Amino acid sequence: MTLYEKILSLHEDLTSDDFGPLGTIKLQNDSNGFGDYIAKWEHPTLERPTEEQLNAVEE
Amino acid sequence: MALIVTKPALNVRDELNSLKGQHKNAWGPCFSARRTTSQTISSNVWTKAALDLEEFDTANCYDATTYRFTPNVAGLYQVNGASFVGVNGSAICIYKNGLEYKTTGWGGGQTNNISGLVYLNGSSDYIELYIYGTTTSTTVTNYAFFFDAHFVRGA
Repeated sequence: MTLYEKILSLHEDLTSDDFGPLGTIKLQNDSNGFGDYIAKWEHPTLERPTEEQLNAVEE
Repeated sequence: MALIVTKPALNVRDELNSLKGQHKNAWGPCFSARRTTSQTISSNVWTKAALDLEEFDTANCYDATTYRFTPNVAGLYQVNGASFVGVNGSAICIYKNGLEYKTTGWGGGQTNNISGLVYLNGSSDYIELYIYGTTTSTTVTNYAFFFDAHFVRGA
């Protein structure tokens, strides 16, 4: 399960628009082997998920 | 009375060589990079374009392992990039010093092109290319996938 899918499972109201160029959330991968991460979270109502919450999402 | 004007002998070859030298000194770094194979990216994740093949790199300023261009001459640079993500809903972005700087795309396009001028200070400033697609594990084909830049003028 990707980071994007994990976040969607925690916040079902989010859509891909929230992650796009005009969105308030930015996921990023620097192609350095460390994988995807949350680079920006500026959603007006939803709280940024913690590492524990993300890790708890079942694969 | 006839007026006679004499000109000093002009050594055309010397003049041309001089001009070439001036132009050469005015030139700054330029590079062009592309990919040897396709690149897979996760959906809805801005992913650095891992362009590992240098077509040319005149001043050794592009790092093909970090995919970063750090020119050693201060000035304005014309920067170009392109990607074919293969899904509707994609974008491309020039990052400067790790932050989003200029973005195009999004909406219905599968192919994205970006072109713009970027000032780089010739020491610590660097640029990278990031790409984006809305479909899971999008494969970016290696054709129509490149990143290049060239020095335009000094600051």
